[in-house]
Amino acid sequence: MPKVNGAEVTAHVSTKDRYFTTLPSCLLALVNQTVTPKKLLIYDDGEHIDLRQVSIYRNIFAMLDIKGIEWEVIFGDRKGQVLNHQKALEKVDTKFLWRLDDDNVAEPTALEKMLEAMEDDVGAVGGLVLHPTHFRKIGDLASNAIEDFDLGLNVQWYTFDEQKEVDHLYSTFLYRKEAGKHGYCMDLSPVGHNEETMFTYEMKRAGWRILVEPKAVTWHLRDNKGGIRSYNDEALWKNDKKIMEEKLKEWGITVNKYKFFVLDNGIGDHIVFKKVFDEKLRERYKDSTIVIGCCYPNVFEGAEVKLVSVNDMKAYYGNLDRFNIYKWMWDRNWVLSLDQAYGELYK
Amino acid sequence: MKTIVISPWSRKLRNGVTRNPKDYPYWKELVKELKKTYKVIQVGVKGEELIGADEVKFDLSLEELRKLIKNCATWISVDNFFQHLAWSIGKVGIVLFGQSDPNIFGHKENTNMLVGREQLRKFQFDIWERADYKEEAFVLPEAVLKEI
Repeated sequence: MPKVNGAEVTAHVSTKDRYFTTLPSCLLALVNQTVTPKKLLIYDDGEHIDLRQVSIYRNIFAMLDIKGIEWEVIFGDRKGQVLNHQKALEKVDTKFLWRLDDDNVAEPTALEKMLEAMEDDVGAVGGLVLHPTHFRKIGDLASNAIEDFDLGLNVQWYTFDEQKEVDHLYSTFLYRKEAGKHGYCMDLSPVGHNEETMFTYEMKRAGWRILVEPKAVTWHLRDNKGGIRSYNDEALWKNDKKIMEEKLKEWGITVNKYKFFVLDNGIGDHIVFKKVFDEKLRERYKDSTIVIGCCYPNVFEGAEVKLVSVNDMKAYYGNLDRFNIYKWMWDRNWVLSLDQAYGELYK
Repeated sequence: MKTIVISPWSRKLRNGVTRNPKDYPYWKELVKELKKTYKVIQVGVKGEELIGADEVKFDLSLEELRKLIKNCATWISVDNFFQHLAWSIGKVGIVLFGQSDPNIFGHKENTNMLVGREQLRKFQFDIWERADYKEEAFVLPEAVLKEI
């Protein structure tokens, strides 16, 4: 049984232009929780339709009533999700808030499992946030250490077995109102890029533990329309990126620099690369953590590098063509040696 | 007796064709002659075709191979990983090239033996599964013996 009763939880969803795509699934998933929240707040930054007049919502609201979940639709100011999250934080009177995006579909036990993990010293618990078409096991690269922030490989995007203590969370999570009293960063643009990281890392700084509980699973039905993807002004992301950089500076965080190499080829190619690496590249990238995705890790035995699988690198980059030395040589009608090619590819 | 290490075969092709166009066709003849002066050790992977060497050492670790290379008088290989391993530890040897270009895939420190550049395949960076085997692309054993 959860350590905390669902009656102490308010779920809140900030939504924009997803009335007829993912929002109904998001809400139905809430209805079907094994431990239901006390209340649901829907912040509508979209067209402000009276959803009670829409058949699917009429049914969903009726189901919420049947399950005893109080609900409220609040017309937002269309100023973005961060403002809505902040409003929810100020409005709710429950001990915990469960924030969800309007393209999240929580598995029935998601809230129950997060509540189970919510010990007294825990500020926030996130679950896995899995993308159905990019379903992967965790590799060696994913990290929620704040120093690895630039890496952009959140552990919540992958499956794993054991609960992890992390520095920050992403997307949807359950948090303690008291731990969130510092509030959201209101300088962010309506897209609120990295707002979750700022919000949860401030909890960590205040002494709360932040957890990822892998038994709590939420599916992310990523939709290219609606939500923050309604905004296409690059300046918004730039603004938020700058704020994040300032925050990292304020927190005294030096972000890890990484240099990636990928060897999706034969052992001979690995050996040639290794010699080039030892003689030229190591010095060239001495300020970075070296990560080598390769097929023959034994070639790098004893080398002070982080070795990962080629699959890990595929998960990170998607397409690995930029690392394909044979393609690189072919594209350039290369006539010099393979070791010279490696030196040029990674110069 | 001085030792020569031979790494005779390239990896198996993925299309089921048994002969990799990089594989040298005259190993048995060459080894027969070499054995008159040298102790010949064949290295490779278990199951590979034997070439009549005095000793066979299959499935060695990279470290074991490095040790073997360091201690031999010289070595001979086709265009496979072995030439790169020996190059990485600074031990020169002989590489028997066929259709791949030694200017690209070889190391100038070695003796890279080639019949002629007209035998090189047109697309050097293509997969080997798309190349036909050409026996005439390789030097004869006499030429190798002369180099040694």
